[in-house]
Amino acid sequence: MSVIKMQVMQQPGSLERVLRVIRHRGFNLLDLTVNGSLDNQIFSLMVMVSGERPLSFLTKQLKKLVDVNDLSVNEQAVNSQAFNAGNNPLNKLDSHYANSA
Amino acid sequence: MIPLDSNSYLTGAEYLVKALANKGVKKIFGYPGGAIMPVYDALVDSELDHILCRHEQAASLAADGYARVSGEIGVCLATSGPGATNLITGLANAYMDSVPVLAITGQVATSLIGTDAFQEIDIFGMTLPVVKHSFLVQSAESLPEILTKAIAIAQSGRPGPVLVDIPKDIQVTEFNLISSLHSTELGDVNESKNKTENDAVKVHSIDQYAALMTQVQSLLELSAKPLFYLGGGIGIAKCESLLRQLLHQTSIPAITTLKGIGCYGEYSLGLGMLGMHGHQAANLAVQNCDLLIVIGARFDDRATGNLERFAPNAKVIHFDIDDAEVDKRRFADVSIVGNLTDTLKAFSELFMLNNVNHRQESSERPDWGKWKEWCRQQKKDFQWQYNPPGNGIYAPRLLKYLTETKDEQRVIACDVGQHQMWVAQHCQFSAVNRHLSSGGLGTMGYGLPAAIGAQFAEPDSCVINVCGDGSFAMNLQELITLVRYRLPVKILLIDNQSLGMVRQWQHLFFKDRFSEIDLSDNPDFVQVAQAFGLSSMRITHKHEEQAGIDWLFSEKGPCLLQVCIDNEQNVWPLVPPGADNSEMMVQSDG
Ligand SMILES: Cc1ncc(C[n+]2csc(CCOP(=O)(O)OP(=O)(O)O)c2C)c(N)n1
Repeated sequence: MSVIKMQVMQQPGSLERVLRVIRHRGFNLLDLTVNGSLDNQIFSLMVMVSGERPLSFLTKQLKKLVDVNDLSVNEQAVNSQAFNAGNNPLNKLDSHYANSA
Repeated sequence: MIPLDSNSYLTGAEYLVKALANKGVKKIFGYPGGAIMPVYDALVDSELDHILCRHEQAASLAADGYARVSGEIGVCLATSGPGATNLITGLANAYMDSVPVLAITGQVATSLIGTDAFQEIDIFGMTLPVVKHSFLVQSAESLPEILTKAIAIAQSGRPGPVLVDIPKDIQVTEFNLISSLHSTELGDVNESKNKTENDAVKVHSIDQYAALMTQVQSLLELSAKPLFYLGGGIGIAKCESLLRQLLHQTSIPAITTLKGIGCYGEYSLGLGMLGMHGHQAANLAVQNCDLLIVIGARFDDRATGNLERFAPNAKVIHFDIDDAEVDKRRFADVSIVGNLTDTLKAFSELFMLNNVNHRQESSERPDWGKWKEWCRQQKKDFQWQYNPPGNGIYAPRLLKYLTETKDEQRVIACDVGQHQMWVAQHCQFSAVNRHLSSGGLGTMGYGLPAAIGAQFAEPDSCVINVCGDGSFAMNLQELITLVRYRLPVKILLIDNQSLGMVRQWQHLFFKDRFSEIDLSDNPDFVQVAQAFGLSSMRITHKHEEQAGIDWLFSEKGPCLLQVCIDNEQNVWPLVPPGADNSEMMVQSDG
């Protein structure tokens, strides 16, 4: 379980994009807090996620979203999921890739 | 160029076409319809060339082909609803292969959005997974900023498609440019780049390169068997000459991905493409190397085969613009994230310095000579063989003939299937953007529209679409576009009367239980081409191969050469699913 915080531009679809990336990259969304205000163009977003892949697999994709800034990860939570994947970050998940024509 | 007078009132649509022209866009591929009519109206007075494709999918794929060849942004245009949904395959194609494409769609009027109006579809929502970014325009005044950003985002960093959805009321709203202009407007895209590039994305600074290069150096020092693994990023970053200089300096053997083909020109230690249908020498080299220097590539599963056993003894140095590709599929011992033009320069400088040091200190570095010799030997031992028995046409040999005459300006756009792999294996390319292939998405029907885009990008080049009989039928309507614009695209139809690649898999992995791959009831494609106004010809025998190619090159206008081959020809070698790249199945048939 990890907590990711980010500043997100208030644009149509920006929350959708974040949630889509979390789903598509194979993470479960456990909790979600959105703090925005009408006058502010930015809202802060906090998501709690879990997943079998290294967290960086997700955070690197989130950072690429044009509307996402200042992404940070709750350190404590991350430690329990330290990156330790040897040569292959996807480890056992690879069979998922192997057998499609 | 039509001046964009900041004092004037313009409608959204008028602004759009003027601003696109001001930003250097010359061609737009599209198809009209209700919700985009104001833009089509504005096009009447515009200097932009609009190219009417006969299907929006073809328009988006043509924009992709145009972008790949020209190195500029490709633009496509469609109406709301079905027009917009038809664009999606092209956007996905551009997304998977990192091609800068701008898609502009009409949308129902703002007040109707969300009411299930006629031809209303949430194209913004539908395309979220296949665009780098997208905009739903909410006011005419915001158009200048959105357009500037959209173009910058599509082209900056790792390029990709961007969608701008414009409701019809906004297309007809008049607005005063002066009050809506931001300081960046009137088009300095570069200036706005910094704002649109996401600061949070990791890119190493020049200072950091120095430290990273020390790590690169120590890996090089330890390596006895280094290998370059070269991907499509090299072409996208337009740094082929830098790469070639680096190859020349280091004389390290090299392999490429499908999209890297052409990057090293005629490098004697270039071993060809790796992967499922890669060259044996390339696959063996990658499995045997002890250091993989990856440049602008992403360890795609078609390239790596079984990932667990891919390059099992190799340390990895990974150069890429996209940090998300680092450690995604394969852990990198050293990663250098940044524009390849900068990072390769740093690498090249390091190598020169390093080499000088070595000469002074009497080399500690393991000798690469043996490894290079081994690579050369593999290349020799596994040369392609072009003489199977029989009198039929052998597609690999025919494709070898196709690029035997040197022509730097030749572009080959392929479709997807066996013929695509044969092109990758047997044609020669002088640069990456001479070979258009749908790598990530594998889109049948890509070739003809991409060839159209390529021909518009380079009117004087010789553009060839190599297709299969299955793929050809997927965007066959574009023959009309060829004739309409008198595009001298040459179509080389490798006709095996079947969905060959699927047939091959059913043969090898589904016990010959052939399912829906028979296309022997195809129409007479020579007549079909003639009906559309192309000249066409059919060849069926081995001794006609060269004559067929000669005919293709002698034709001045659009033409089609139908090459009838035996439907049991397979693509070899093949790394079967689950196997590693050294476990290649090789030719057992004729
Ligand atoms: C749009 C699309 N649909 C289906 C496929 C799956 N597919 C991959 S190759 C292939 C067969 C292609 O047949 P053809 O164009 O005749 O080429 P050949 O393999 O015979 O050279 C198919 C159906 C695809 N890649 N793209």
